[in-house]
Amino acid sequence: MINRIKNSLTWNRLIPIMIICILAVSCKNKKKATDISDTQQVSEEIKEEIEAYEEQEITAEEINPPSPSKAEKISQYFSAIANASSIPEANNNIAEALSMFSSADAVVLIEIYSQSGQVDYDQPTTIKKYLNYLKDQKKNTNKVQDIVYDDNGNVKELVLRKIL
Amino acid sequence: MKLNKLYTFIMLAVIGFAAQAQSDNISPKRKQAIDSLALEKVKDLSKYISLIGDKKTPYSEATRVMDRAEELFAPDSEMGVSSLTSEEINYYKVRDYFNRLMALNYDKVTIKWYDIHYISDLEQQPDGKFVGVITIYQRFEGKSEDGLSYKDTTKKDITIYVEKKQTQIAGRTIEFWDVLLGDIRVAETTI
Repeated sequence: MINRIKNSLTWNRLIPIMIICILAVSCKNKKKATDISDTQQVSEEIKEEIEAYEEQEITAEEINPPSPSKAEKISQYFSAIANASSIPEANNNIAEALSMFSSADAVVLIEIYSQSGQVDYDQPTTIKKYLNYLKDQKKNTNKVQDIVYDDNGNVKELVLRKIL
Repeated sequence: MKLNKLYTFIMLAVIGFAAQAQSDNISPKRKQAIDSLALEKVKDLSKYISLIGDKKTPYSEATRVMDRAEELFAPDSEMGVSSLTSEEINYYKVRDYFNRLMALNYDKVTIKWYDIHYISDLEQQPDGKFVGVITIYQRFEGKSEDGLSYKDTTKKDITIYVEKKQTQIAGRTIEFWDVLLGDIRVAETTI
């Protein structure tokens, strides 16, 4: 009996509290609905958020510029070697560039002509010879066309295309 | 029946021959690419000779460049050497020529090739190879600190051989144009 009285008292207290909570939540949702109905304000808020995000993105790019792809990196080395002001400078760039390849004997193919699936190549060479060629001739007239990687992610074959 | 078989055989042979002839047919643009490739090899040689002769080129670099330059030539090719002081033209194997060039007794040597052009276009021979002739003008200047100086300009003709070859790379058959330089003959020498 005492227990039943205790339980009814507890429920009597809980019910008003629950009603208050439900009302509070419904009021909050109503406010949100009112906010959303104001489309101009919402669009302005979105615009501000996008602008803030873009600003943040630009700043991040300035601080951490995207790392160049392997093709870009190879092209940069080609240019650096061909335009080196001294033999030691060119040789340093050659040594650095070679570290991207599976070996100094990695194959280099140079496309001289291509049409309707017919491809003509210059005599195949090796990357070491090609990098030294750039150093000797001081000209960089081929661009990276295709790269074949080995299992370790190093370049094992490089296809270049003659810039006409 | 026998005549029919013979007729079929002849037709197949004709079709096969026509297909082969078609595969050897080279479009003007493709031919232009081959012409340019051969011309570029001569220009590459020009730079190599300039480096070999240059006294500032370290010995190790000069010998490496000699190897590269020698690879441009067909085996046993010769280089003609002339002088204003003699009517005689000497011919040396290319490697001997490079070694002599590197050992010239001047303190400064400048070699420049210019006006590099075809005097005889690459023409396909019955064996499928292309042969042509490229002319170059070579300006040579040698100076010594004791005042010794020599200058001349030599017109030289270079025979060019171009042949289509195949090689296997990573299990693939790659077709490439093999350009080889032949003898370099002296046409005339002037001041």
